[in-house]
Amino acid sequence: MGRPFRRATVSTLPVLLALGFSLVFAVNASGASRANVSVRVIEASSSGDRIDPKLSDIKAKLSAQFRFSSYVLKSSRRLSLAQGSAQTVALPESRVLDITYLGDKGGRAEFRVKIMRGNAVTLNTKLTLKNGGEFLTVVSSKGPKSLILTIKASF
Amino acid sequence: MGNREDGHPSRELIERYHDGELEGAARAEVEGHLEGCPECTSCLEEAAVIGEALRTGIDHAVGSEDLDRLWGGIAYSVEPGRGVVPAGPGLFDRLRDALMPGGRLLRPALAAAAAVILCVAILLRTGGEDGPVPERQCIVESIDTEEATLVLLHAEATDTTILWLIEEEVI
Repeated sequence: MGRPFRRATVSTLPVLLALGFSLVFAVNASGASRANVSVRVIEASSSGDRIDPKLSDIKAKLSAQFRFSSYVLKSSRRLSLAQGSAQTVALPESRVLDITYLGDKGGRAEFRVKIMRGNAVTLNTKLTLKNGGEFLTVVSSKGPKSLILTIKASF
Repeated sequence: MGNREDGHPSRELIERYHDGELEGAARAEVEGHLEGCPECTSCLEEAAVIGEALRTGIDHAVGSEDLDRLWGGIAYSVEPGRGVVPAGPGLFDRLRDALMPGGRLLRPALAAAAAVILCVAILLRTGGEDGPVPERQCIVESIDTEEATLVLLHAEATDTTILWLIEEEVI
């Protein structure tokens, strides 16, 4: 190795730098224009003793946060939201989950999340999630069962 | 008394009389001789002139001369074998040059090392227990509800945010 190697290194260095910078800006651009949201609808109950195997990845989290003895996965959806667009997810008992991707906010994804039942807006919240961030929503009534919604974003 | 064989006081005695070193009978004897002896009086006057000249020279030397150099000159005169002390760097200067070769380059290097150490210390400090607070997965900006009771929970240990809605109607 000698001068030919050195010349090759010098000539490729600007290319590598340009590629690196373009990758950085590409990641930021995808985070700003689009967000992927995974939604899981879980029926939780204090009767029974069963944890759905499809929930094995969050079994520990569920056990740590709640005192329910039974968890059953009712549905799972993956949404791809462009900035400013909204999509809905059907929930048990005529409820609807409505998610709007508002855009990038300081490197976080901003969403508006609504839960509606008929004409009533049971929940209307605006929040931000970091990439891979998640939050839970529990909907309980006077019955023995509750709904647990896990909403996770990636961008 | 220290007189010469011809009865005149010796030159040394006259000089001692001039310097005020004679007392009592010895002084009186010299004074008595000087009154009648022009030769010894001339010798006394000569001693006075020489003595004045010597004092003037010493005063001038002490007032204007660098005493360090004066000491070096005296040392040389006392110990001729030492020779004249050279006018180069002293002991401290020689030690400094011996312990810090290339001192001109060492100073910026030390400054750079200190800056690096300071930066590392700052990074360690801010990344430690008192460092910046981790960013939460979920930050709720606004929340509203109808026909339900809402409880907002956050588990710090797992960084889990839970919005718990308690509907008023029976499912």
